[in-house]
Amino acid sequence: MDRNGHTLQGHSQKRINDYSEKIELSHLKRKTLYVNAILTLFIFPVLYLLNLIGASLGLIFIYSAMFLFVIIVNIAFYTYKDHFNNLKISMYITILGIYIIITSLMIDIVAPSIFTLLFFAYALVYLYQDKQAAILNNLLLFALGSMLILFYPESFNITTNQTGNIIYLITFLAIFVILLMLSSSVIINRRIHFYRKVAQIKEEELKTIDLLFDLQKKRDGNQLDDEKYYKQLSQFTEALSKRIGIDNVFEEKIDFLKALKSERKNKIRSINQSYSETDINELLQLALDKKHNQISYTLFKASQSNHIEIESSEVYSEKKSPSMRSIGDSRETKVVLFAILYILARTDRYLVESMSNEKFMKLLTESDFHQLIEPKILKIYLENYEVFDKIFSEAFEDKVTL
Amino acid sequence: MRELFYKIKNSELLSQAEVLRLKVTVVLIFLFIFGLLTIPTSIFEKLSINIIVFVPLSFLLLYVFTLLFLIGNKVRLAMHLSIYNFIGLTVYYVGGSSELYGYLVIFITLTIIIFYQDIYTYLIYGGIVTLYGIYYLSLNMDVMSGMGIINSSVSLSIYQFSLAGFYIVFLIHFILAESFYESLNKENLISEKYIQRYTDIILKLDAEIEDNQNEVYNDTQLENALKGISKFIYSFWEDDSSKIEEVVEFYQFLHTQDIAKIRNSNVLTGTTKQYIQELEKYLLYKNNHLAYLYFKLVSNKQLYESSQINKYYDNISDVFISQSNKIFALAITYLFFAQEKTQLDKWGRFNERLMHEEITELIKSKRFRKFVNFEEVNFYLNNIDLFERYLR
Repeated sequence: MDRNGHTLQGHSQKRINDYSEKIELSHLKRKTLYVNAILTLFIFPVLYLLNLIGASLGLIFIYSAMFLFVIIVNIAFYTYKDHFNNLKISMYITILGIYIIITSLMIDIVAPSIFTLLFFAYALVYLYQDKQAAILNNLLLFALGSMLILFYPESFNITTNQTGNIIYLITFLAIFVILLMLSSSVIINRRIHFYRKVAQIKEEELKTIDLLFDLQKKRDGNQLDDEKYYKQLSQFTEALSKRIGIDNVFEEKIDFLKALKSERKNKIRSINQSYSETDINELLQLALDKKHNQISYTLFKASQSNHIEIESSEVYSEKKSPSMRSIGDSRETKVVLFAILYILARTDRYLVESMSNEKFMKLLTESDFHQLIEPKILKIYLENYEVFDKIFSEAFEDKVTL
Repeated sequence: MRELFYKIKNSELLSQAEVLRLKVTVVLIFLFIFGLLTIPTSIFEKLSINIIVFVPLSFLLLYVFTLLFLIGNKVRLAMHLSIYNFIGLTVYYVGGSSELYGYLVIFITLTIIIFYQDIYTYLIYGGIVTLYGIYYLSLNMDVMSGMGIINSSVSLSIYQFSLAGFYIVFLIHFILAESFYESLNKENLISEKYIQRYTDIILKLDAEIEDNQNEVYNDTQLENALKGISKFIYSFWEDDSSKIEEVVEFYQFLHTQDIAKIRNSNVLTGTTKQYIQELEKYLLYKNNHLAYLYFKLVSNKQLYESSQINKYYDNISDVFISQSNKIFALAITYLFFAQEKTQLDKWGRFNERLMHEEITELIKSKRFRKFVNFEEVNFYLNNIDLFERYLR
């Protein structure tokens, strides 16, 4: 646990969660746009239908107001703030709005054909692909559909064999709802998992660069010469200011960055009182500290971009990342793989320092890594980790006789 | 059944092929219930004896074939057959005396097709079913309008609108999901490629410092530990440890061999070749699956304590609002490239810095747009002489 009380994986998990939410937000924004575009188009056939059945102006006005309300709420939440919860609230209001409009239509125009508009409403809400929205959608469709069948059977031409026909209609509805519920459950689960996977790989990227920086430092020592860096930056910005004909605003920033090195974090504000919080946060990004300075990670990544090639066929193929539970591997191979991985982690390999048995177990259980291990092998290890340690220790003390 | 629910609940952990298998299984269960509910009613319908015999028979045949293809791992074919079976039932039901129910079955069939979540399947089969439904409606309007305040032509329009609207909205869903999945998949793939590149550099750094490439075969400590642990794990399956010992020895032996050469050897048995194929992914000191898994594991130790990094970003320009800070960031980018070792030299050592021309080429490249915006690239090109003179 660190000074701020975060657990071992706290910062990582927070970054992963934030990024997953960011992806979800961008997806939700897109879906909100699509649903509202379709809803706007839906106004015209509804008003046309009301006109056809000779509805009063008052009724036409009420329906127009209902549509407008839903759309205005969506626009307000969409533009108000780029925040996840706002879009979620607008999503719930839209779902309820759509169902209220359709229910009102079913009450005003009692006919079997209006009942089918429920399916259209269902499809529209399905677009959101959200867990809570899917539950609400299925519940509303089933409840409203069943109520209509039970209380207005005459609107379905049901005059003979009432009970049998009602059971049939409700069975149809149930099959429809269950299938689509299963379908959305599978899609939503996979979608959330995929968002997390994309976020996790970003974290992995960051950590692998961090490891690389550590190893490079181990080889070369601390090579980043910040004095030289700042001197060059100072000369460059001076020449640049002259060329573009402005005051040298950069010098002050360089002084601030130099002073940062010797100041404690809580004293940063005192270096230059005129800087706002945003200014300071931006300048902190530019401080020359290769480890633990975010821009260095991005710059290192950028420096490798000329070596990254993606074939378009790769985007469409389902490539599974390496795992220790690969279906193609025999049991013996999986056993050897776990054993070699354990030994690698417990010894100084690839310039990485060895770790204790406890640390190894902690890494397996506290990270998502355990998902990659064959469950039975993981269980054997977790239940006998002391035996693993004993075999390892004896082997590396040359006590084992085979 | 419990296993089925468990799989649905944890479907995110399954591969696409496994999910498809799961879906076909679910559809088969529904098909069975649906067939059981609908086919016996044909006795009460005024249908010819041929139809009464033909429909259940073809339903059963298709059902059995779907099941066989599913068992025989031809899952995609099984998926198509299950759709045909549902379409067959729809046509049969639509031909019966309950027109409204026939119309509802069209929705059920569309739902089955949607359930498979395959855009092309939906586009073709879904399109055919929708067109058939619209045509069917125009033929049976009089009996379907029911009681109410609207006349049959208005009713017809509503029925057709609901069906076409349902189809189009789901089509939009497929297109939306497909494009979003594609962009995320690309992002994921690019990150994997970067990790592969970093792993390559780490391995090169390792090879430079430690001369341990051939130690695996000679390292008795490693051999003892590997045998001991492997035998212990294996004992939970089998008492006889000779097989696992043989595999461990073979694994170590492979480190001394040119795999490409021995893989094509005619002397080796099929089993040996199979083990070569499996084990070569896990050989030490190569940028392979083992390296991926090892660095994935140990990288979890990294950045525990750091709260300074609070999000992932690639575009340097987007991080800064102030124009002067953007210019500053660009200058630091150049400095980093020019002064830090970021490349492998011609001997494969991680020792090279980028030259001015290489930096310019990199900044101008299309791939670099992910890291800096077009405006910053233009700024760099307009002041390229200053960058070279003061920051090299």
